[in-house]
Amino acid sequence: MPDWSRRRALHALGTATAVSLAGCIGDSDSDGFEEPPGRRRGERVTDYDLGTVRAAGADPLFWEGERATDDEPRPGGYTYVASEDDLADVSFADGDAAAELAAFVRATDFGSESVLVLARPVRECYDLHVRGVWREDGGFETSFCSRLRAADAACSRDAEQTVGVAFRFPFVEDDVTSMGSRWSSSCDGRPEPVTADGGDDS
Amino acid sequence: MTERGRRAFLAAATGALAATAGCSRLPFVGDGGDGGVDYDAERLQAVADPTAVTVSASAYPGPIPDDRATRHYERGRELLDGVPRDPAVPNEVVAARLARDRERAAERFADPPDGVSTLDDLDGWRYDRANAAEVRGAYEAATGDADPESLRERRAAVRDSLHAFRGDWAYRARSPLEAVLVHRRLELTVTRAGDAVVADGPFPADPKRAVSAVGSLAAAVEAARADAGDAAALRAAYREPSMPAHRSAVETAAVRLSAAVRATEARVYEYLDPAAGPENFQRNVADTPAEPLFRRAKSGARTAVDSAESALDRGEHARAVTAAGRALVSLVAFEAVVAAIRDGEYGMPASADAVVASREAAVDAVASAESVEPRPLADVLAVRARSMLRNGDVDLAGHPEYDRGDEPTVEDIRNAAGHYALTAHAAAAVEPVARRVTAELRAAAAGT
Repeated sequence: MPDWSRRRALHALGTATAVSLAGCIGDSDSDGFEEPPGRRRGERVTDYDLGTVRAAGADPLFWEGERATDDEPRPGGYTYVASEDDLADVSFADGDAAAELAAFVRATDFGSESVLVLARPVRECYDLHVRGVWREDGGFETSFCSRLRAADAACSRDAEQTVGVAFRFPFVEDDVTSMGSRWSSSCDGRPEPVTADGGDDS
Repeated sequence: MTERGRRAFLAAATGALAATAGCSRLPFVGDGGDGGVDYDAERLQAVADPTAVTVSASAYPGPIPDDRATRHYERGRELLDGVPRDPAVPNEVVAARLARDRERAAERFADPPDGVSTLDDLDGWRYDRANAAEVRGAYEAATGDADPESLRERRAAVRDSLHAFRGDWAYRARSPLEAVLVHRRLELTVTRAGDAVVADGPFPADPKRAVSAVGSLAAAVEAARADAGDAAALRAAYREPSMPAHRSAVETAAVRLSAAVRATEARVYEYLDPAAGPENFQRNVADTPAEPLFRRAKSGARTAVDSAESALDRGEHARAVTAAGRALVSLVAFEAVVAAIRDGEYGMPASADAVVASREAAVDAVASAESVEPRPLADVLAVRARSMLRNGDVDLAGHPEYDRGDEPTVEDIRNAAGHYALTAHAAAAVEPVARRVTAELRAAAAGT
């Protein structure tokens, strides 16, 4: 169990990493909410760099191996890149957003760092927010929520966009065999409970 | 599959097996093969009528001024008039929601109020007015016109008016009982207004990103204004200078009745204890009406006692009197239920006729309770009995709004029998409790 001061420091970082995925690398538009603690088995990861992109249309931003040959491949899925070899197996789509995501991934110092990349379609009038990421035995769990964008943000009711998210971790997980993601249609949460140490007990 | 749907499915399966065996007089439920009873489900479903029972008490002896509903109507329209039918908001989802919410809210304002004669109807107009305020608040947030300062000022104005109202509250009425019946409704309205001026959360830092939250805050303030206005108008319409003040008598009666609740509770505490269950009886009540009857009677008594204590704690003296009366009804009924179960009653009904007979007894008991004098008090105290009667009818006929008319299963019939039994006990308790409440009010008013 981490010591108290480290927990408090990580808690501060964790709050800052509840970010709106508005579409630019390094965006850290904190809105101060956190995933309610106590529902996870793994250890919450808070010391990571976050890269996010947002692209018009609902098309894959990246893929492993050969690109799917479906008529209309949908964005989605994840890849965990722990080495240059892993990176060699990942392809990024054309376009500025995918290029920006690729640049973030390639800037990773493989050996001591690794990067978890996810993508998901989102309706144009909504933002996607990271609620947190947890490290479990042999894998990761992520949690996202979506929230209506500002009323003065011009957007179409039916248009879809694609959000790509990359978490750069200061560690390498040797054997990632599981990946879970929670996607909530609402970012509204209960007030944070009070704990004796005032810290994050996730 | 819903619970009722699942039970209906099982009942249908039972019927199908019966048909296979040659016993095809459907629809009957039950298992006649192991000593159980087949019930004529269709008949039982037809005999029940949940829509015929109005649970809530209608007793409000004061006049309801016509201009209050009109005021809510006019204010609601005024609020909606400030919102275009097709709001020009760049975010199309926000625009569509505003348009939809405006249209829905406006439906309620198509026609002005006509002859509002009950407080429930008045509450309906207040609710519609708050809905209109929610739409207006959300629209102003979306267009950058939301004004948190205005909201704060309106909250402060409501608090001031509630403070003034409470400072001039002598519980004037023609009699102590009428003081209870009038002022309990005023207490309810004032408490609701006071709760609504406490904002659920801070005003959003960026209202354009939180139009729904701003709408909710605006609706709460509007509802509070409407409630505060209603309370003042209702009291002014009822109060006459010649009416004596009964505040002290009502307070005293509330405290004494609370003590009576505690004494009655102590008499049945062995069975009212949270850990006590149907297994405490020296007989197996599993799968009989006694089981749901005990659980429902117990939970009702505990809830009623808590409600009475809460009203007293909040200083709602008139509501504390009626809540104590209802707690006493529930406790007396619970004691009777425990005694009857101990005596071996409330096994499975012998037939559909027996279920119908227990329902008829429940209906008669409610009518008898409602005829107890003073009738307005009996009306308030009979709420528990009416509620249980309605529950029994819902067991047999399904919920009038949610269920699809599935025939009752054996479990439904068991629950219905329990509910009808509790109806009879709760109705029987009305007369002695009314006597006690009346006596306490009389004694308190006499200063004894």
